[in-house]
Amino acid sequence: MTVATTVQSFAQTLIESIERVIVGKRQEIEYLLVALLSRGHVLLEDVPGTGKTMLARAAAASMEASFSRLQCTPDLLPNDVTGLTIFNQGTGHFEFRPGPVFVNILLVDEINRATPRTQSALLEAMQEHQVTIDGESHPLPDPFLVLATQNPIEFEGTFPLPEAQLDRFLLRMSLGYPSEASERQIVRALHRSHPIDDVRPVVPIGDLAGLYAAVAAVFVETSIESYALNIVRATRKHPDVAIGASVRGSLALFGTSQALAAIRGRDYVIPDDVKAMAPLVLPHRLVVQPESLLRGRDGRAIIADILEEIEVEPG
Amino acid sequence: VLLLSLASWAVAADLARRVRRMRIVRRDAPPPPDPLRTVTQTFCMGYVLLFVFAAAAGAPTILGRNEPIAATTWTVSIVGYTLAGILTLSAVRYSVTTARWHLRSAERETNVGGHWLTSLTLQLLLAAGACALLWLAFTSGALGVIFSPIVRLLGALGGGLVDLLSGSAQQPSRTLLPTLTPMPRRHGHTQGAGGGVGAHTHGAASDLVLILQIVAFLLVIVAVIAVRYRAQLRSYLRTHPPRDVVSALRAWFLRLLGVLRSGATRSLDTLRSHGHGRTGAWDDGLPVAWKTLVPGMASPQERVLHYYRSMVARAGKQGVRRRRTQTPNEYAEILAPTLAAADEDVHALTTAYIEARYSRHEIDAPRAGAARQVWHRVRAALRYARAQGIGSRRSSP
Repeated sequence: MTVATTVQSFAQTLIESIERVIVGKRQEIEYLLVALLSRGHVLLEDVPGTGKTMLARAAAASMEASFSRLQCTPDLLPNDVTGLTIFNQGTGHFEFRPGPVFVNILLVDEINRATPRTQSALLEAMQEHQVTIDGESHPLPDPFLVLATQNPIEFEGTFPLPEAQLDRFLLRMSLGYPSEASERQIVRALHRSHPIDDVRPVVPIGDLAGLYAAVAAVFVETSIESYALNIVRATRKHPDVAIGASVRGSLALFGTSQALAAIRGRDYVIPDDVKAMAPLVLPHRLVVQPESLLRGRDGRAIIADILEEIEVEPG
Repeated sequence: VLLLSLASWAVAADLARRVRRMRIVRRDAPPPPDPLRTVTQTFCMGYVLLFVFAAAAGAPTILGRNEPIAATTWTVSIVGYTLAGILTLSAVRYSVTTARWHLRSAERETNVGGHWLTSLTLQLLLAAGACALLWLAFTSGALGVIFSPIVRLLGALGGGLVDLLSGSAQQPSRTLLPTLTPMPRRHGHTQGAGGGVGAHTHGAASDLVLILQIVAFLLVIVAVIAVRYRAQLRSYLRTHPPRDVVSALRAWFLRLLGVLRSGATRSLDTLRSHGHGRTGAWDDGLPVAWKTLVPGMASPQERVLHYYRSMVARAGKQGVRRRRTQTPNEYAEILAPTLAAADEDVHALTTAYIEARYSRHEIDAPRAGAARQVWHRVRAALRYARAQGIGSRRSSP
């Protein structure tokens, strides 16, 4: 069995397990695994009740991973996220009490309702995979996947994530409403009992460590490299963009394309992988010109334009 | 004669591909004759026979005279007669086999069109070869010695006609006596030693008459074939106006020039790079389309890439163009529905191309061979679609 097949087999088992709970969202689940295999985090922009929490819970349950949920509010403090050191009168020592961030899969609900200070503490943990409290570093569990959600409709009482912090999220995606057939299936299934109760671990979480190397070894041909780089560089020259995607954006596009190729059973990246990942990886990294925003042009539309302009096989 | 031979062989090869395509499009079709094999076999058989005859006839003359110049002309003559004879035999044999096949096709309604035009072209070329043979026989008289007094008489008549029309009827015809020296093309002076009885003066008029003879003969052949194929010709002209045919020919010629030019440029670049001491195989710079003509020259990977690009080019000409921003899979999604008979093949060839193009996998010869088979099926489907007017002039969204 090749490394790519190993990743595919892992992903397939996991997807099938999660699909028992999240119906009709195979592609979104696949993208979640892309983030998992790329050691990245996902920002889910969606209205309430579309299955964001269920997705995170199902993923955690299928991998026997630890899971916690953090409901963000304006009075949430950084310590409530990372944990704190308290004095134990019995032992006479300061002891570290880990916060909800010390899990494999963390669902951060409505991240834009937390204050920038709390957001910053969380985002630092996401980037560094560790938290530092009172000068002492505490590594986070591996793997560590954050699924943050924000409501794209409500703006009152929110603190929008600054672009620099949005850059820390590997993917920004939305689940969206299910199709009629899927919704019918969900209603029928939930009528009896919730399928999340039946989800059992199907893959050991320890296997992930070996898969990271397999994903990193996925071959990227020179023309694919050029294609991905041309897309990223085009964001920096686009008239509707004030600040284009960063180098972190290029790395994210490469990494996620490799992960997607591996999940689909290939040990090489094809243009379709890059094209599939670009709309998820790049739009939230762009700072769009205000006048373009007023015209209704957002990052997704700009990336769609760019994908229609960049040649897949130049020359 | 040589050019005619090569051209007829090329057309036979094309016809063979078309016949193979029919097997694919109509799986219940009767096994048609393989024109390439037929022509090749006839070539080989005819070559041996005619070489033996011509050598038997010419050797005593050459040996007796001991003339090195005559030996050269003897060799040239043998080759000329041989090829012309082969063409005639090929024409006869192929006409018979094709006619049989057409009868069977008509019975089972499996003639899907397109075949008859190539068949017609081939027969025209073969008929031209036959004309060349007759001309050689008439003008040299060599075949008269070889075969029979009847042919000898025909040769004499032919030569006498030429002489008569060219104004030298009073001179003894060179075709009455055997010689292997071909008719000289010198105007205004007489051929000396070695010419034998064939040494006599020919004016420009004789050349003109010969040309007219050949043209007349060709016209007769064309007329016969046109009468035979009049129904198909009429329907073809309905769907393909002559203007389209002319512009297609012009486009084909320009494309050929373009290929030759780009190939020559790349070859020169390769040579130049070797001149600068760069490493690499000598054929690195050659276009893959050229390499695929020589077995073993193009690597399996290059062959797979070539088959896919050929598919894209051919489909593009039929209106399903690939935009440069489209991935191969996206293009396959557009192309496959237009070729319902080969939709799986389109995806299979695309997958093979993707692997050859973007992976580090070793593509071996069997896989390239499989891709070739797939490409042939896709090409057949494209031709069929064109004949049916499916997907024509439609660019991908």
